[in-house]
Amino acid sequence: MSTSARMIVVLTLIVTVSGGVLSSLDSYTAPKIQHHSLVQLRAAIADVLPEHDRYDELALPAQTLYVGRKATGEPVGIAFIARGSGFQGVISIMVGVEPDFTRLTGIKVLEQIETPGLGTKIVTDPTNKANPLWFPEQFGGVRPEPEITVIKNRPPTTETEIQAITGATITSRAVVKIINDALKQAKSDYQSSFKKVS
Amino acid sequence: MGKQQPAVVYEFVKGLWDENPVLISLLGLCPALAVTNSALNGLAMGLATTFVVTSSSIIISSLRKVIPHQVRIASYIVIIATFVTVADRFMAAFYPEISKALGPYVPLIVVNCLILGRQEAFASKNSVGRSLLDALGTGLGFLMVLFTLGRSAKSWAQGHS
Repeated sequence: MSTSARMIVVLTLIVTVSGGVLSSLDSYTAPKIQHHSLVQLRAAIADVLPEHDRYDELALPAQTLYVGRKATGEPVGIAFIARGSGFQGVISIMVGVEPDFTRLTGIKVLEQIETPGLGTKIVTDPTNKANPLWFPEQFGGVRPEPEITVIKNRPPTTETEIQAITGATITSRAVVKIINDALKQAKSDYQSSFKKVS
Repeated sequence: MGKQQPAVVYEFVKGLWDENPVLISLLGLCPALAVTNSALNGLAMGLATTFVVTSSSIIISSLRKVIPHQVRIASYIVIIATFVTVADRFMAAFYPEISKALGPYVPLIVVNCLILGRQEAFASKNSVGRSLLDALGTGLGFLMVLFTLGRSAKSWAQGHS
């Protein structure tokens, strides 16, 4: 066999075996990996919504809404994933809101690559020993109408205000902007989904 | 060749200190700095790398007379990449937290020079047994450094060990 023929045969064989190994491995691990992300999603929904017995997935063209319901079917809150630009990269947040969109019920940051020690306080703030979750917890009960606003260096005085993280104003503003934008979208999506049904 | 081969045991031991990939050969420095923020991450990265270098060395040294010289690097990379993907998927399926913490550094094992280096410098020229010992020694040498770095980084950062 000539050298070039041998090169082709050997490389082809190696790549074929490699592809076979990887595809059989994938069929074994893919369901497990998918299961982990589902568990994470469920935990995030449970974190941001008030107590509920089940949730329905409302798959709309723009996004998926997760509607938490009591056993009777009465909706207690709506959760959805909001995505947008932070200071350094994409921030994605699970947002929970009451079914009439008048108050947020909670938020949980799912993904972020903000500045360690400053912007990462949107997830947890280890320098605040009393309540490391003070920033995300501010969103529970906040009113999003007309919109949530960011204030600096003083505690919130109205129900639409969120206090910024010192040293991470851009990240704090980004979180609020992402939530404001996504809420408007989710609200119109949710309400128009009813019109189609009825 | 007339050259005296070193004792079999030395093939294993040399990776731990004499030819330690990080401390002496200065290879694999990127993961050594990037993921050693905790002992657990260092350990996981070290184990994944040890798995990849050992498995690749076994396959490549047993195929060393079959693979044509001209396409050896391409063949090595395909074999290494296969094992890296196996390690990556395995971690994502069974240790999702560690997999998330290590992030892109698991798939990036494929470009870690210490792995391709062992194939080109050793596994392609030596028997399967010697290549296995050589790879295990290299992997363990790497693991030890990553674990130690991760452990001390944590205690320096938090003021206790």
